[in-house]
Amino acid sequence: MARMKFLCDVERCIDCNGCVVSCKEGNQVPVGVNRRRVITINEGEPGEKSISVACMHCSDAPCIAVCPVDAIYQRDDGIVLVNKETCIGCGYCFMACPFGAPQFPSGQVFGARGAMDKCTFCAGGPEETFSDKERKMYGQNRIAEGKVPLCAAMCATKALMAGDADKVANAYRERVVKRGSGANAWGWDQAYKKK
Amino acid sequence: MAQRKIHNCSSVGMKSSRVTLNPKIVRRSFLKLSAATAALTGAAMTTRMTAKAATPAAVQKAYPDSKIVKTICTHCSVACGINAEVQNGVWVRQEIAQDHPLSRGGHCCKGAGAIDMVTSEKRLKSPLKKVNGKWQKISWDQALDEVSKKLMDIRKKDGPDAVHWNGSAKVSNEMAYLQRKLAAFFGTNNIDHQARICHSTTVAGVANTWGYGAMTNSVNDIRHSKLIFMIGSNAAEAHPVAMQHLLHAKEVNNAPLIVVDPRFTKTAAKATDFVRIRCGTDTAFVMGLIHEIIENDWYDKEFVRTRVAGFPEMRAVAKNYPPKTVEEISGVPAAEVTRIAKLMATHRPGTVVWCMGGTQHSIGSSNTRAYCILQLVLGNMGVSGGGANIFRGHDNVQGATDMCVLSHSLPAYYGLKDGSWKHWCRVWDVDYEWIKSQFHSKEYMNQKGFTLSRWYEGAIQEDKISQYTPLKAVVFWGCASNSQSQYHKLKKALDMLDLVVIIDPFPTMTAAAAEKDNVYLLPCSSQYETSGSLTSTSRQFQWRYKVVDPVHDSRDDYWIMNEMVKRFGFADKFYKNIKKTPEDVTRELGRGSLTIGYNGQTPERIKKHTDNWHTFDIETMQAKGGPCNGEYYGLPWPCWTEEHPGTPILYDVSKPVAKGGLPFRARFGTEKKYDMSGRTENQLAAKGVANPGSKVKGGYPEFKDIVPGTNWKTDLSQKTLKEAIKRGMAPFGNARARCVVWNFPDQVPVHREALHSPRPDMIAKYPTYEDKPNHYRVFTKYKSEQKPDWVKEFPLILTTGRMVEYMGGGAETRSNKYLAELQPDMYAEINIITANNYGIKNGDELWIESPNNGKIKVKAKVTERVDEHTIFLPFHFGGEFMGKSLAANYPEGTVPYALGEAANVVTNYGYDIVTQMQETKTGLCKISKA
Amino acid sequence: MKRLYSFLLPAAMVLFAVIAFAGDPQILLSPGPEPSTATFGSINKVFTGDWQQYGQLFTDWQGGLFSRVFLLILTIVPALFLLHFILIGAKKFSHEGSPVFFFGLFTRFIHWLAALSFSLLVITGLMVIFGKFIGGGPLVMTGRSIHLLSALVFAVTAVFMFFIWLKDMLPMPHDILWMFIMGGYLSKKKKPVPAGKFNAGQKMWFWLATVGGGVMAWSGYQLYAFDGMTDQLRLMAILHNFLGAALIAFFITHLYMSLFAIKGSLGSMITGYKPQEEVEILHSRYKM
Repeated sequence: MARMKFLCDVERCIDCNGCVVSCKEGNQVPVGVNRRRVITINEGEPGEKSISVACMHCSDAPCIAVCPVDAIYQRDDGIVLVNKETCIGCGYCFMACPFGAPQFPSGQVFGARGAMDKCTFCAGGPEETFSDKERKMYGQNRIAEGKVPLCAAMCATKALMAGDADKVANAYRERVVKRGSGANAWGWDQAYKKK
Repeated sequence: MAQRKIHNCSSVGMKSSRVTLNPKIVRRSFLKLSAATAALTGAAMTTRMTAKAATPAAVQKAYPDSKIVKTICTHCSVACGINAEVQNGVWVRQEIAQDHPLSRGGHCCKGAGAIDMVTSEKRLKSPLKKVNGKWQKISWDQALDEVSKKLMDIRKKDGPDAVHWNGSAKVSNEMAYLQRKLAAFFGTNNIDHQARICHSTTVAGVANTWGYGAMTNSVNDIRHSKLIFMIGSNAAEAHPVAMQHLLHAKEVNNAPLIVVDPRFTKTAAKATDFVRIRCGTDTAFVMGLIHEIIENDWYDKEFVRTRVAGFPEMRAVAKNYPPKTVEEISGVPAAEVTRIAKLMATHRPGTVVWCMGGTQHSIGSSNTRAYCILQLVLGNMGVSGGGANIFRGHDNVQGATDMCVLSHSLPAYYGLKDGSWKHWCRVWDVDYEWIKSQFHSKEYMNQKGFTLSRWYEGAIQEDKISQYTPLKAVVFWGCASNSQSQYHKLKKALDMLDLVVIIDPFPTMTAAAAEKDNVYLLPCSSQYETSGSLTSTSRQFQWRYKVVDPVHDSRDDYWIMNEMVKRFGFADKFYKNIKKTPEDVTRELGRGSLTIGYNGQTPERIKKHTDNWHTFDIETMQAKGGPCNGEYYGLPWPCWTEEHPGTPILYDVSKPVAKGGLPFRARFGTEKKYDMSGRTENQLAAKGVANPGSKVKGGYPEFKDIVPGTNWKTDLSQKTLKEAIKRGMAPFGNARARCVVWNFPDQVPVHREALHSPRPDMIAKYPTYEDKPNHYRVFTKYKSEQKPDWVKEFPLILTTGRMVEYMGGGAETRSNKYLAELQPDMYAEINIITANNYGIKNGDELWIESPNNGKIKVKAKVTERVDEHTIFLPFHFGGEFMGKSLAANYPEGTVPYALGEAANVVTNYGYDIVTQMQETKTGLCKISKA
Repeated sequence: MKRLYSFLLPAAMVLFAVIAFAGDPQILLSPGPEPSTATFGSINKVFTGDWQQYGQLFTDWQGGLFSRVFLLILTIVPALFLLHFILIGAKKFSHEGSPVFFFGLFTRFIHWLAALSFSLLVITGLMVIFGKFIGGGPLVMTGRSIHLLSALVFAVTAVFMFFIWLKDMLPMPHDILWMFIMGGYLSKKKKPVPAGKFNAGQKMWFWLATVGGGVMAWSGYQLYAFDGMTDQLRLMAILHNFLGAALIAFFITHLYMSLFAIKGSLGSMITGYKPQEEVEILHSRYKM
């Protein structure tokens, strides 16, 4: 079965936030919840790089391991999803996640967190596919339509790729090898001393 | 500046992590490197998104019975495609426009949220009138009746020039054309739009060099560049999707990406070479490059010999800019000037990209010419991968510029002379005498009107105006006001006028800044709620199909225009040949715009291109098979006939004219004796230089008298154009590009210090011009404003620019909750050294004051992007004024999510000598902790 | 030969990697171009740098360890006490003589308020830990809300109890003696036991419940509000779990001691008086 992954090419990412807003707009995510963010390091200095980060849909997801109510599950194709009706908003998944992917809307009692929200790889949720409930709670289910997640599809420079892990890795590898500048191809500046 | 804090993110503790090398990738790429002859196909460099995330079950439809409507994003002139999915008349979501040959489904954050233009809660819901300081809802009939009556009363009492029309770069070509036509029928040349403050110096400088003032190649063509030189362009934030193609060149062609900018921008982050220059020293730096290229014999001798005029004269001026001098002026090390010049010389064809960083100066029209001359001496013009690739601003600023919603010309750059008026009267099918009678006097018919940058002087008259009446009314039709410099003066003007009319989908800051009871707000719909064509920065025509009907009680621009024109009493004349809107308008404007070859792009052809995005090849932008076979995407103008495929690369003499080739335009006569040297030179191209199949194998003047008494521009039968094509020749002649523009104050570009310069020594050596008593009807100061002492009280350089999250004045984008979430606060970028000297920490509030009595209060962002002499402000904010909030002034429910000070309150006095472009990219300021 | 090969190939890969990375510091320092993996490396550090420290630990422990610890405590501790009750049984004291005043009205009120809130804390806490077995969702979320409310109540009572009993709960040398004989509960005899108003066991419970309870409240607040950096939150979660387990163990002990181990001792927290014989035996050092 194909495993679904994201890969963001930092040589291409220009911090335009197209991925961020496409997700929010397409899934009607409330303000304050950021399923995807762009992180920039070394801002304003040579070596400034940006990367778009969301849930990585890890193979051995730590969030699944720590959830006390087993609200998070993983599909056969590797996509990790949360069942918002089971989730109790304890926040353990956020603490376990190396990327800070779980997001929490402000909640009900004393402002305690509501149910966890995160990138769904545009695969909706456990509700019936294309139902209003699925759309309201989780956003679009593009995977069921045979379509690619919005963020990668709308990336301005095609830095962000999403899809079958092997295919994505292949595409990225080809890209890196074809970077005639050499500088960006791993190992080239050692082997070929270009520039 | 994208995200600020990440709520509860992991700490930035730099403990060493074990980065596991994936052995699989190591091995594979190692093997791949040794088999390095793998075939490189272009397709592989495109995004290889998985074809489908195939699910075992049958693929279903999320919105049954929906349809996809094709339109174009309304933000910038990269003009990305949008597939709008509509179900039961409701725009349910944005689908991926993957077939669009330029954007290929990509968007920046603004385009990704394009649907918000229609769904935003902050849209104007109904016509409003300010009564006793409060907004009152009125009906359309009442609004239109009152506005029209007031305008006609003012026209009768004070004259048609008492009204100033600020038209729009964000309406369709058809609407822009109608706006210019309206001003003409109303009897005034007081009409202008955003192009004035954006690329007016480009159009003037570039058109005066070789004929047209538009982008010469295209965004996709940059894929073929061997070098990209960006000066004053922050494409990563202003034209994000274009970066797709720039990065392709960088990656695949090994192209050096040289970024010249006072700031280390997001584009500089992707650069291979970054050059930091002092604000306002572009001409000096570029003339320095030209100096090195010529004196080191790196220039393209053959190209210069055959296609360039005024070379020795220009060379003599360039001799004044050796690297050492350039270093003194601009701060760029001398060795670096030589190095960059060599890089450009050894990597050809190279392309030059520039934007506001180069245009918004008092010598903007010199800057743009310097960039052109650079490409001329390198021989980079008329070739794929070369060119002057000017990235325009708003989505249809190219179209609106071409339609000349401008105070110095009628549509299609015909100008304001009698010949031009007569031509257009023929197109409009109206009596020339009648049009003349609409004007106050013949004198005013031929005189340039006020500009967008200084119209308010017509009301406040702090500088003397040359008009028989002050301004009494202003109409903002799709135009912001907080993008104009010295905003505090503009705000004063609003309260001095009898009438302020704002026609916009959002109230804009203008509505909040106007304090008196003289304001009407008319809600027009967005471009997604109507249809029409637009012209992108690459001169490509695209059609917008209507996605949804106008929302709330808004109406589309065509309807509003119709209603107003009816009430002005000349609807029968105005719409004489226009029955079906917009298509009949497209035909009329095309019929008349022969100068730029807008006649080949019929509505049918444009729509066919839009319907068949998928057939166009992204490398050449030519359709391979299909209904548009052989045509270039968007039929880039000039498109001389309905069989012509469009001109993808301007001035390309390697192709026949019928296939899209062209020489330089013969616009400036056949011979010229230069004042500076006394030498006489033939301005036509050399023998042997012509397009393949050309009857005349060398230079020739423009075509005239094919139909007696007309030339190629005025022959409405278009026989001249067809005849020229038949002969394999360009209708506009075949000439040399000019290094010497004898109709400009500086015939060859030279450096002059900005009016507010931090260098008294440089002011002494390179002073500005004499004051200009009548510059677009306003006395405009130069020498009297350039005081060497300013820097004593205002020691820091002030510059402005864009951020990716917002567009223009920000009224639309700051009303998008997701964009506002990304950047809720106005800020000033300040270097850490400067911050420490003033005791300012990141996030502190500070006052910024200008030499012209403007002041604003903003938050500090401490960063290395700017150097310690410079402060940077984004100009998109509005809704606050000199420290206090104007939120209460907005109509209920329309206050944008993000409010802030308008940077233009503190931008300084200063205007280009030719076009009156505002000098917002280099000024002075002083700061203090608030 | 095969063995040699299976050594050589990884060795070659490692060597290759070392060579590639040996040049890395130079590449990272210079403003020039750097290989993509080095960039990914430095970005990884921003994200996962501290994850390697506590994230892994937290995930491993929360993933399986904590619930097992709680299960053990919930089974073994009561089992041990059941065994004790069967083998040794309750201590009975006569109710002759004048009863000794131990707990005032306000003290009793605070204690019962604390008892109620603490019990709710334990129950709802366990609901979260074993949430998956009761289906999660609104039930457990309600439990979480009750946990929060009860925590506020308990925190207030804990402060009172701390100051009411502080003087009497200070450690004394005889507490060590008490520990050696386990307070005399391992024998059926009724010999005087070295303890003041409160014995060492009660003192341990006091400190754990008040100070420990305070720590639980503080760590609990951090977990509720997400007020802190992520690695700090992970430590708080680990602390909250372990300390919670200890508190539940001692709570069960306290329940057993006050409800079963001494017949009628519940009465002292209702009426405020202890039987004279009980005080003479179990709190032999107590001066009235």
